[in-house]
Amino acid sequence: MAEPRLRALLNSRLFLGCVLLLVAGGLGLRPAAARLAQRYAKQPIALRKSLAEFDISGLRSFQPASPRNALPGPNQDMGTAEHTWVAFERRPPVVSEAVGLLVTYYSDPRDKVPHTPEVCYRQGGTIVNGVSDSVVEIPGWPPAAGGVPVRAVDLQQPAKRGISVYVFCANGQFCRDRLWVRWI
Amino acid sequence: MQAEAAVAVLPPARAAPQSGRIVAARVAILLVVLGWAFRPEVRGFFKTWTTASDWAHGLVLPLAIFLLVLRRWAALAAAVRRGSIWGIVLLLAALLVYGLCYWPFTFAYPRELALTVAAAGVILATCGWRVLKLCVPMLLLLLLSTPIGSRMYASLIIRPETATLALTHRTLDALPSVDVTLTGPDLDFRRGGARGTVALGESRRGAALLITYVFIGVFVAFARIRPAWQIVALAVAAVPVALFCNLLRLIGRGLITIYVEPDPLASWPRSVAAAGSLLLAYLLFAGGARFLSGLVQPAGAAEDTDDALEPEQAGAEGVADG
Repeated sequence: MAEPRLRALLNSRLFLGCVLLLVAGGLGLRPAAARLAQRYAKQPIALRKSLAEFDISGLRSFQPASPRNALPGPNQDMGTAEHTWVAFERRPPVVSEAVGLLVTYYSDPRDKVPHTPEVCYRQGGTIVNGVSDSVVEIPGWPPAAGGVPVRAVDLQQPAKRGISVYVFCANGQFCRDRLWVRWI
Repeated sequence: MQAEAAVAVLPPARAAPQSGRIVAARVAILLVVLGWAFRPEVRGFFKTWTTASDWAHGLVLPLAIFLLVLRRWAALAAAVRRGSIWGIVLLLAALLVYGLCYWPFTFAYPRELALTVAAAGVILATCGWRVLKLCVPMLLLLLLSTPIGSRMYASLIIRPETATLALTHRTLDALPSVDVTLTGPDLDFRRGGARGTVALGESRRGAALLITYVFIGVFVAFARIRPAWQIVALAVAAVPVALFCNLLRLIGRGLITIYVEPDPLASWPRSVAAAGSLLLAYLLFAGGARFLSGLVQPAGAAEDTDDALEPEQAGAEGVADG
């Protein structure tokens, strides 16, 4: 009795094809992807100069932030030992708010693209008032280069408001989008 | 001799239609194997459904799908046809995307979405295009239960959350003898001698349960087989209704906090506001669906069979399968 039913059940090439595909996928896809990832893993590039050696005094119009303008640096694990934080302001007689510069460098092939401020700060309760794209022109660059594409995030916390501007650099190319930078 | 000649003239008898039980058994087996093939993703779904309130509606997904299948059982049985080779193509495409999202790309969300596409491929390969069309609601519910990554989700809800907080601030501030200020994400209020903060410490207080509201809308819309125009109307209304219910959720939370003054860390205000907003979403969608159904004249009920086949009609078209 069971045999005719079983034969009827299996009497469909499409059904059997689906079963084969799913079993093959379930057994083989992930191990194959892991082997390929291992074989084609990127190798870290040796640093020529550590970020710890970054010297703000090279910026002629700026100086380290004064104590009244002190900006606290990030207090979370960056996921890399190569990072630097500098708070600076315009040199006198110009009076300005302080600007914080955070630079992080990731070279471990297992590293993910870092969080961006509109996500990171939001999760801590900050309100994102707006996100906009812009281009920072670099004096001395050829016009064809077009400048550095950046993304600006208007952040609102209970006691203060600020702008965070960020950009990624991968394989020598600048990119402002966290998803697109994966393709570089 | 005459009888044999008559038999020779007649066309050969058509193949018997495939048994509904055989087809149902095939689909059940394939769905189990599908769940096994995508087991890391399925495990991840369950973990998110049980830990994140925004995705808890995934826990009722099996029940919702069961109810929709039950409602359409006759239509599904009548719509079964020969499976389509395009189902295999769809399944292959889903597995390809799945594999590529392991290497060289590490995109989790497309990998999870591949499960829904693979399920569609399985249904198409087993039962044909008409059944796939009838199963679109179930696949939609599965899609809406697929958790979106926290970073992607955060970027999607930035603007709705900002607008909701601003509107809630204006509404609560308009209450007599209540002063409300919005500083960042904090809605601080003062009423007489009492002070406090609405939804103190919650990270997504301005936008919660949005996908759940849409899930409810899809379920209500497809709980009955309806004409396509009603589905489109409900789909257009889904996002505004979800945003509206979210706004009322936060306003409700604010009213509870201001007038009842619960313990700042108590969880019941959040639960009450959420439950109330979910009920409101259901009532709005159900009311809208009822209103749209009432617009159709009784004679227009023939439109309702767009998605269903009368059994006699199915028999006349003939069903064949290998």
